Amino acid sequence: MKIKFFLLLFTVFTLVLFPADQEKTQPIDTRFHGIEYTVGLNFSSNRTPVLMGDDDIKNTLIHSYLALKVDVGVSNYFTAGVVVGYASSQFDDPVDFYTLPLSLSVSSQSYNSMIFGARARSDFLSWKDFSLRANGEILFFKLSETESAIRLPIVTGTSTVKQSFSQMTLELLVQYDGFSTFTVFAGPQLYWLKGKITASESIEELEGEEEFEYKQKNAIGLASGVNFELGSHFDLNIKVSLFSKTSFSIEAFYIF
Amino acid sequence: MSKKIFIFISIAVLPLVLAADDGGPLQLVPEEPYVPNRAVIKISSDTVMHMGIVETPGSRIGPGKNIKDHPLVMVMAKYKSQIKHMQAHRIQDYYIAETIEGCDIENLCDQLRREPFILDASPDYYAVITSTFPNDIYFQYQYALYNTGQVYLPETGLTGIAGSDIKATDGWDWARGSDSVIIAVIDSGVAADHEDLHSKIVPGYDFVNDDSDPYDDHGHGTFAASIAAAETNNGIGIAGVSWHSRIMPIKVMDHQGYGSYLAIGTGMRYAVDNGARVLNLSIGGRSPSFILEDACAYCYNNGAVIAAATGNSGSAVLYPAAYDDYCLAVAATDANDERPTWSNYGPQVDVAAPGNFVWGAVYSPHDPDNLNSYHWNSGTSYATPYVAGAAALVMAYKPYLTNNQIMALIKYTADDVNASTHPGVDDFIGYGRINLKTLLGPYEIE
Repeated sequence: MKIKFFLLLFTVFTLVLFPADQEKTQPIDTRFHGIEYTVGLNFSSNRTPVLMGDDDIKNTLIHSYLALKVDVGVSNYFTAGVVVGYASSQFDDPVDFYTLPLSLSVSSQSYNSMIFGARARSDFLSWKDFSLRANGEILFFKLSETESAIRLPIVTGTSTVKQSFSQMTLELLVQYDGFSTFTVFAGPQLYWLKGKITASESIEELEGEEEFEYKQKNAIGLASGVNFELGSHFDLNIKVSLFSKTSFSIEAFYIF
Repeated sequence: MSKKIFIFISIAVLPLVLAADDGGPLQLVPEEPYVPNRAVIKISSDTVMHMGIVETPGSRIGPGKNIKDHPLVMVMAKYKSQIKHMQAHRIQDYYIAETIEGCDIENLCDQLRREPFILDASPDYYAVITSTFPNDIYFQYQYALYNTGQVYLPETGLTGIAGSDIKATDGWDWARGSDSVIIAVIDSGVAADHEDLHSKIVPGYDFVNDDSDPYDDHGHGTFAASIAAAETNNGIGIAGVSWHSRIMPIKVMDHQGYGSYLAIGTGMRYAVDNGARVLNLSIGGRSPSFILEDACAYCYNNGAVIAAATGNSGSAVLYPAAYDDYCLAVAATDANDERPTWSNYGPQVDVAAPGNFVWGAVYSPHDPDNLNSYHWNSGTSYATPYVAGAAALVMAYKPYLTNNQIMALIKYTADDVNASTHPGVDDFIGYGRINLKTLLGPYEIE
């Protein structure tokens, strides 16, 4: 209900800000003005409610990452870039594997992995001090593997838990450019997360493997934030997301 | 400039404002983790006292009451779309909010926590008992299943050491068996009309008299059958290890307690051919023979788990328990997790279970007035059905496991209760006394 209300509000807001009158709205200048490079660091902390397995068991994926982002901008209209970084993730509640010969309950285990991905941004419409921006980003959190000992009274075995996931974010943001040193933005966010966690065990001749897939509980959320221009070469971007996930992200960029 | 600041604030905080608004409907499911339509609120008692509010525990809070300045009245007004009414808890210093149907309680509590005066708010979560206790009246004496150090022989006052049991109550949290798993009791037959067994019996066979009425004329089979799978949680008698398994009586022993290898082997094959997946053999002989070995191999190769008694003479393991490739050889422990000296030993011993003064259903063929009674008995014969019952629980819980995997799991999850004198696998209790909690519950990886 809240999301629907917001989308309605956002649509009205956008229509008011960007009237259909062609003379008032100004499509962004798409002419080629040269290539602009930016390099930045991004720290992001996320809590995403997820549904696991065929039974849609509720859990929360907590993940943080530090990433290097390199963007190439073509005029002010379109920017694309790549993302490389390192992530740490864990589940809030234990993940239970009941179909293994010896059931396992995996709790508080953190998974560290490399991440890589791509992103794109387009400022495609403006009116007065407002502009409309579309953001898209896809990130792959590579497979991480954690091995633990299973210590039974007499025999000892091993368990291996593998986990990987990917996420895709699409945002449509209204940005207010009326301030000289910073801009603010807000808008709806579509967020998809899909992952897989596998546990295998080996205890003497007992062996087994069980796998869960999981996905985000809600895909529709909101994003809002502020972008500070620190001189002519530095940008600092702070963003929060709500509903589909609760996240905080801070990015610092150097513009060549 | 002030207009710009207004726009900045509007955009930046819009999602936050919306987050504090009404939430989406909660997907109520039967396994809801908390009481529906209820939030528990804790406010500062200083606040209430400072406002001079005196309230009666259990009184309802709301507009029109004499406590209109109560901070929760203001909260109620703000959340009137979510909260129907509130009242002070009659014992604890909390306030109970009854919410409208479908209200997102967790979201509401998140919002309430941000309110001044409110120290905390929480759904009223459900707790669950962490062990499953049946209501069978003799369960209190079944130290083998749950040993608190209680008196287990009322006439003697004997007690044991707490925890010297198979952790059945913890295991039953995970599995209580299934009527699709049949335990064949290869023994003296079963008194199918015993009050604690009659609903559990499936057709068997009498290989002593060669007929289809495997009624017990000795009592041994009835006692063993009841330990493995007596009707449980029925308010009478004892609790069986596998609550819902069924029992196939296969009579191979006569009224004196003797049975031929040929009858035993034939009975074992019959049981497996007729759907039994667990075989309880609380019997044994000193001599090896291909008759028993071939029967064990046949049953094992057809997916059955065979639990067999090691014997009660303090000597070498009897056959068929000694056929190590096919059987789980079961030794006995007592209420202190110690091995009675009469429990046979040898390298073939796989596991142990309580077998000293354990309770079971009694059938007394020579005492018609005592047909539905219960008593204690001792022997590896009565340790064995604990293992057979455990195997039946695993089969019901994880039907895709092979018999070999189930046998391995029972061994590896046993407690090495004599580790201080014989660490590791030993000739006396093998891997140790079985443990249903470890066998059925999850191993926790931190």
